[in-house]
Amino acid sequence: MFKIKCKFIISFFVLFNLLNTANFSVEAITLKKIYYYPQKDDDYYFRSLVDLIIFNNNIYAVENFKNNIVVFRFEKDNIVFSSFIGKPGQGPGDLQYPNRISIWKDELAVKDALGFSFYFLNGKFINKFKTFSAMPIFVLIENKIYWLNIDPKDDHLIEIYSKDGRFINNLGKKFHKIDLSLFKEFNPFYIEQIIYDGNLLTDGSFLYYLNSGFGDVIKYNLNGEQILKKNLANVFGKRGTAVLDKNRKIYFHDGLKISKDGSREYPRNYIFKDAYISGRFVYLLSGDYTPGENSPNKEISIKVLSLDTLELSKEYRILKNDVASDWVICFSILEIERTIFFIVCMHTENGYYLNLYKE
Amino acid sequence: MKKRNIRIGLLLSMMILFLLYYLYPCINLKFVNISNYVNQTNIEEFKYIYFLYGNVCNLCNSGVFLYKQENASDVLFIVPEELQSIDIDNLRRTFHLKGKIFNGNERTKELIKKIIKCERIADIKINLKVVKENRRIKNYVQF
Repeated sequence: MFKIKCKFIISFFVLFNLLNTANFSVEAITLKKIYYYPQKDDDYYFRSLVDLIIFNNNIYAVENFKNNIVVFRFEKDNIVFSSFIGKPGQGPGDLQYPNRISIWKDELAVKDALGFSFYFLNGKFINKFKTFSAMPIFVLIENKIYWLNIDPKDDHLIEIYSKDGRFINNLGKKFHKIDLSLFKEFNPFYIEQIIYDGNLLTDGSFLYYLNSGFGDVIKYNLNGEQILKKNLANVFGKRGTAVLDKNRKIYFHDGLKISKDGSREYPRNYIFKDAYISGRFVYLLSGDYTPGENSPNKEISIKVLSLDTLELSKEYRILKNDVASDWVICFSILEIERTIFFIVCMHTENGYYLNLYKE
Repeated sequence: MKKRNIRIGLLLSMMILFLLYYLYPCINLKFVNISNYVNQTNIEEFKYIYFLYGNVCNLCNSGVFLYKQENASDVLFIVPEELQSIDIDNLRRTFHLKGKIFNGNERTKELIKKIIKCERIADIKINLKVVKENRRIKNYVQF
């Protein structure tokens, strides 16, 4: 009887450990850096880089301060400058501080400080509409803009607009209870933006909302029904849960106060910095910092999750070596003949770079 | 003595002319009849007029200012004439504006020009909250 009890207890602990580690213990594959851009004198040098998409072997990089989209071709493991889309200004086809882009079939949508602009992928301008929300997180699906809602008085998570700016519908519900009395002197829209910051992505059939500060991921069908919801902070191990705890403490418990010099600081802690869908997987690029540690992380991890189950299936890592202070900003993925290439935007003390990695 | 008095008189008149030149735009503004510039027959029913000719966005100070206003029905919002009905709908939705929103015209721009002259601002692209008393400007604040 005692033996049976012992066996039961041992098997329970073995099973418990297996369940606890099964999802989150995948051996990380170290990625090799094979190229970086710019490096030659006649290369295009970035002033700022905020978003990146690869589509049909073309790389679309968003230059926030130069007010345009820079297009590169991916050729034989190299990055070659191709053209610009948009130019500084406020007229048709012009851009002012573009922030995020999304591509659907042959159309590129850009969110800038003034609204949404639409172009064909060859750069030809289609149309634009004005917005009064600076929230940059959106995705273009068919002829609709799915746009994250940061209105503190509106409980819906996502707003849907037509390409001519007509409001169509809402989708999803906000899931954090925000006590705005904790942020009395702060912009309430900005507080919502930080708390709901992340990515809206699509695989063509479903819409995915990924929250970068708290790790929540929600999968919707295009009718707005919630299919799956998970928290992925655990996927990033101790670093993920440390960021989650820190964000919860700041935004749901302590609140923010104006500093002594009168400035308003909005602390940003990311569980993951960017997300990208390629094939049947979503890739999550980890943040640079771990709360409680003084220096930035010396390696960046890229977690690969199945789109169907949101379970971890693969993991990559990028070693920053002696340049741990380089910041990751965004990334994108390209698959050619079963080889996966990762292009990571980095901000270094020498400027902005596109680093190319592969397995 | 006479020459000295003339000099003082000239100096004083110069100073008065300078002050008049300097203060004229603001003095002029006090006598402006708003209904001559705002194309609304029922201007009397609005206590506040917001001229939204500058940058309006929810993450900017202008957005916070609009968000925190008590947008009662006695508020009139005037936006540039190039804004279309879809833009106006989106403006209303973004800030939950309850007051009436109308497109301005060239006359509206003239009124804003009078205000920026008084304030010695060069650009017309500003946002203003005007407090009205009868048909005159009682007070205004730039945001």
